[in-house]
Amino acid sequence: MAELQRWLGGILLGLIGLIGLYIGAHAADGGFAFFGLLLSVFSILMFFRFIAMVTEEPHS
Amino acid sequence: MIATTAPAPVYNERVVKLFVIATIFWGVAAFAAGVYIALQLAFPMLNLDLPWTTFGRLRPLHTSAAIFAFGGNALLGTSFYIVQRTCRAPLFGGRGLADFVFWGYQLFIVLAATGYLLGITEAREYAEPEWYVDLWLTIVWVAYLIIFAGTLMTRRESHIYVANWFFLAFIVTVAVLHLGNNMSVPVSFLGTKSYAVFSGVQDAMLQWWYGHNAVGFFLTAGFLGMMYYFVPKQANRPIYSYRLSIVHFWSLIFLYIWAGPHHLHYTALPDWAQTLGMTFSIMLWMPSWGGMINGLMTLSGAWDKLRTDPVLRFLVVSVGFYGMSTFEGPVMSIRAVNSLSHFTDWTIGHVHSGALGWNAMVTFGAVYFLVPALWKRERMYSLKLISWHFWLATIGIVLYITAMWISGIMQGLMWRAYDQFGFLQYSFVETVAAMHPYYLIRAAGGLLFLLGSLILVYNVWRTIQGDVKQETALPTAPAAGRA
Repeated sequence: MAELQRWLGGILLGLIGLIGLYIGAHAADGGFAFFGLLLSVFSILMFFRFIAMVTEEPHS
Repeated sequence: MIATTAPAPVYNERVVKLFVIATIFWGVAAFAAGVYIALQLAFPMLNLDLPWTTFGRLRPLHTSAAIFAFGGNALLGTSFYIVQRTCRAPLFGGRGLADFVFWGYQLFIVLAATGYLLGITEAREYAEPEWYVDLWLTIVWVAYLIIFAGTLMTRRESHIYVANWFFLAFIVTVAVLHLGNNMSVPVSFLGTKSYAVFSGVQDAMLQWWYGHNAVGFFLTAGFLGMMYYFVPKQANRPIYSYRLSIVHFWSLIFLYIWAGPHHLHYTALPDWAQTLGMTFSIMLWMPSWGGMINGLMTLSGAWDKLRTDPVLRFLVVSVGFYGMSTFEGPVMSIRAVNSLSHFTDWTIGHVHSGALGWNAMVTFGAVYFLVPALWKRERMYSLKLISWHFWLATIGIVLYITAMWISGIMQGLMWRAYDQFGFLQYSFVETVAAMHPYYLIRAAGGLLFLLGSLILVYNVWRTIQGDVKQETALPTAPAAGRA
């Protein structure tokens, strides 16, 4: 179950990042492009947090 | 779901800490923005002739920062803290999902705020963000619901404490309101602009069904959940009447949902619908005051604690303001009163007696309770500073709302004044000029409130650092000092 959660979390964050990059590249206006870039930055930062969480030592 | 004597599970306090810090950060931002736009009304040159800094763009920035950033973070954080302890279960979904909700919610706030400054808005009050921000919030909110409901379902206490009922009503109803009010069609899936599905009076009705229930379920039900946990904990007394809290809960959520049409008196909305909204608003007196009485009476036999515990003062005064603003609201919903109050500063004063007096004060009380508890400190760094914060905030609110009462009623009376020939006695600009002194008083009140919040920041910072100030004048209050 925990393994499945990790995979699902990683895939979802990756998808959010890709959608953000696509929006950033193809947006019709500056505001929407900004949204896309923020979305991809969010997913990358969350991804780092996610990796830190799943690789954490049990005692820490 | 049988209560056991097993040791308490490991709660997720990290995410609650993050929410507490975010609450304080966004609170200061919201109050500062409020002071700035209050000064803009008194001195229009502060609009700076720049599109990004005009009152029209900064005003939704202020309201959203106060309601959704400050209030929202407070609600999410306290609900996560309370549901874990009252259910004796860690947050459902693990730390990853809780982290997603926290950072996802901050992203929503940043997206909304930057959108306002750029002029991206649906122009729906308290629901200004465009469709893509609404969709993002929906994802985050569903994750929040999964965590909260999942924690309730995996609880190790047979009983669901009443605070959790209020939080659940807040989460579910806000979801329904958000989906209902944001039914809009994007012009392009790669652009920001969208148009609402409904138009005309139907759109207005939907907007105020949402708008009033944002007050009812975001700013009332959720914060009542906070009250039902922190007032008894800080007073170290059981809630006055648990039965009253249940009656209060069901009557509040049944009545609130109908009250929206009172925002549309004397409009194209059918008369019966206006009357319905007004009637249900007046009926709301009962559950609102039931809640206030329950909160205040919890201090029966322990009123002396107010002398020594400044945190309890915040909580009790917040309940007092809750009672006062929920008395004023139904009065203003009466059609005849509304004909005077609508579109005037009276409404602004009313909103702030609720937002500052009730929501912010109960949040400050909760923050002062949570910081020593979460960071494992004996007590807050300085009780004197809490007292300073309390008095600055209280005086600030009083200045604010009295200025807006006078300004608003004067404004309404000037608008409707006729001379002997049946012409309007005052031009619009004369009413604006007459309000100038009250705008200054309002800005001064807001400034005091902002100063108080900066004291909170300093006190919290020193507490987290592990410092304790030795004080003699204010007796150490054990209730305020318990970790």
